Amino acid sequence: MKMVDKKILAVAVGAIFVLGIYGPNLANIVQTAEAHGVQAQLQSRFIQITDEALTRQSLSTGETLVLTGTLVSLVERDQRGWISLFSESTNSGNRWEIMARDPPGVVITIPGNSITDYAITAKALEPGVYHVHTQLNVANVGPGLGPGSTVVVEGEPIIKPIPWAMLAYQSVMIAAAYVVTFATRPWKVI
Amino acid sequence: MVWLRRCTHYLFIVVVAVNSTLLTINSGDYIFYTDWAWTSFVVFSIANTLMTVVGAVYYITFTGVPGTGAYYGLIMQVYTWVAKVAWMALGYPVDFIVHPMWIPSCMLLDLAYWATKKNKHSLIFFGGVLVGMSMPLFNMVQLMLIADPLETAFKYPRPTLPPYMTPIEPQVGKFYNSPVALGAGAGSVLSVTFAALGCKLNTWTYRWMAAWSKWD
Repeated sequence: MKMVDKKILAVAVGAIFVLGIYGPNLANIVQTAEAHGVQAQLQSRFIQITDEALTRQSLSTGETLVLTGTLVSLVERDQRGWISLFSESTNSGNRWEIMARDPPGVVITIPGNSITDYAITAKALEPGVYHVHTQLNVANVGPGLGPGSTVVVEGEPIIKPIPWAMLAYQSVMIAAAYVVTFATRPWKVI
Repeated sequence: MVWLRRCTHYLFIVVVAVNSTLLTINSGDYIFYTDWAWTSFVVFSIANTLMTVVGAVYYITFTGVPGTGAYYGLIMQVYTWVAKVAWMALGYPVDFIVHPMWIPSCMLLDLAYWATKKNKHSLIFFGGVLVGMSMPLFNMVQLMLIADPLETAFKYPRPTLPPYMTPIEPQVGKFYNSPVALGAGAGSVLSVTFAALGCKLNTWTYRWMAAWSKWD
């Protein structure tokens, strides 16, 4: 290979390296989240969450919290969706159990140009300092979040029941594999 | 020569174990907490089938002992319990965590090898089809033994869920009416190819070890 070819090759490899390192950063600068179909703002442009309020901002694990507010539809068409809560915290827990929803049911229909009051009752399962939002997931549109508030949860974490049937299934198979393995002892020939 | 053989063996175990643990953690998110549940199950089944069959066939032909498949499946499945601890630490509901079920499919591979008197091509064809057909079945049993995935997804907001991945409604039938059937169909075809790849990897390993043995 000639020296000139080697230089071209070296420059090309260098350019690929530089692009690989800085390319994503440059792309971040010029691209917005909307380009990916993900809305950048918390509030949905289809149905907005207003008058969001929490019954309490400090509670113990096992106690419930009620998030209330109003869903204001800004579109003509009826939409289907479901309400939940979205929380961020400094720990990795973020565990809540949804106890009740109003309007009742999981997936609800939100009529076009309507104003619907909502309430979510959630039980705290893990201590932490949270920022809790209402989350409305609208079919074919995506999620929207309310402004949110800080909530402090204290107490012992609540663990869910242990799935004994699944553990039994696993254990039986693992035991059978032990029997076969020790009967045949494959490691003897390795 | 023995040290090389053993190092190769343990290296392979570690690599596949790490892969299987990561796959377990990641696939769980997509199976349970998105509206792609059934589609994800098919992808999960095929990915696990291929990983299992290539590793198990490699091992069975490495040792030539029927029973090696069970040994391999046992190691992999026990490793996934590590993944379970990681999930619990992230705050997943405990009655909602599943492990991939590999052992029975690996045993079928042993059976194919043993019943055909250690015929490599029978292992590839019959064993490959058996693993592909059985893997989604044995794994779907797991889903029936835990809390209902969709109910759980609505009842327990996932700790680290990106909001755009939340489910809207059950997606059963959207991609295909039975994820087990589709997973088994695709898996049984693809896993034959991967069983052959396992055999080929074994050949290459022996050639590589033979090349090294010049130094003995």
